[in-house]
Amino acid sequence: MYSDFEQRYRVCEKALFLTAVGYLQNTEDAKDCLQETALSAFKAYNKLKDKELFKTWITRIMINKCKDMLKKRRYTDELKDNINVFRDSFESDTEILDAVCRLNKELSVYITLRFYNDMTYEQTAKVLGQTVSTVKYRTKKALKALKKELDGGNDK
Amino acid sequence: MNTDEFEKKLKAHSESILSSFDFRLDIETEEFKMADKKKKFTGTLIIAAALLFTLTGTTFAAYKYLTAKEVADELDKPELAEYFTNDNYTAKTVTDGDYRAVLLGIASGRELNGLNLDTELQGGTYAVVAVEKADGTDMTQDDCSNICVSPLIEGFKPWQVNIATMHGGYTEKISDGIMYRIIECDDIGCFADRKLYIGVSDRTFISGSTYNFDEESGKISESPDYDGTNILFELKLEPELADKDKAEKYIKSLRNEGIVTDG
Repeated sequence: MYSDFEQRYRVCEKALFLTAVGYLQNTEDAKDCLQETALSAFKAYNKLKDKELFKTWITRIMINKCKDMLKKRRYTDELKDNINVFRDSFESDTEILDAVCRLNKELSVYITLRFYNDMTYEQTAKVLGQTVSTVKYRTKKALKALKKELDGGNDK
Repeated sequence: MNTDEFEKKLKAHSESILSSFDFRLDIETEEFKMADKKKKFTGTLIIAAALLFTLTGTTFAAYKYLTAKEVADELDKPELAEYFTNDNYTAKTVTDGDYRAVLLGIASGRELNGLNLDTELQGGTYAVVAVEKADGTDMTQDDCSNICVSPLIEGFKPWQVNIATMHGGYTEKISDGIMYRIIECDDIGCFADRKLYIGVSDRTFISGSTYNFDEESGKISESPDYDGTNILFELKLEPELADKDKAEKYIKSLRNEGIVTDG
């Protein structure tokens, strides 16, 4: 069972991490969050009947963990002030990730789930417990906000 | 750059960043090993594992809306939260006009009395409601101030007997773009032999334009001509809560106050 869990977990680990980074705006917190998520998910894994739902299921657990962590503490440090996980990434990539982190956390999650986790609107709706139309609307809003952020706060 | 180009740019960025950074959790720690070992035990440990699943499973299956208990906790009404712990109510959702309303919970005086709660809560009726925009945008404070949530009683005109005239009030907060409101007013449980409602409308005050009242039968209904939100949740209170004497006395007091002018 352990190896089955690990196999599924490893497939989405990095995407989950980026989602947590976007939510918590801090790589150290994201790492802690993912650790807690993995442990909780592992403990409950044998009760997950449809293993095909693993990605949606664990993402949902992680977002709830992120929310719990945000209630407990708040960081304002930008990504670059944290551990250099992204030292081998292109500067343009870290710039975009930085911009994602600067978004309102309620919006950044639509970007991270769609792009880093490669989730459809339907999957995102399932993870967030929202309707597909809400997810579509908010994803559009998030894209607009991100574009503005990358353009230096100017609408172009 | 148009939206499609921007989405393409983000997709490329996603592929690039996912392949360029290194992140791997050590999930062969003692905690994981312990968790794995525990799964192999039987007896009491299985019960513990089942409990763990229940907790995590609840997280996974969490509904979009806060529960009545969570709302009561958030709005600093711990005793009401204690009542809603009973989890004895199934939320109902209705979308009408620009808004979607969810009746999360209802409690009336006598039920609360049975819990030996603080006297502050005794003798009143409480309803917990969530309201959100039907188009998915966030509720603003201005939106909230236009929303009216009120108990209504069959046989009495909605514009005469409502939250304002039944000495009611409310507390609310916006969370994740959803408005959560707890209303409280005089106990309507004594009217449990009539049809009782919680009305949710997008008008600050209840009027004849939002709800119809049939003078003959006393029936209250949503006005079909109203081009907005005018929802009626029918309440199912225990019929034993009905108390004709108390109800009559209460209506008499409203007449004395000049609130009920006929009927």
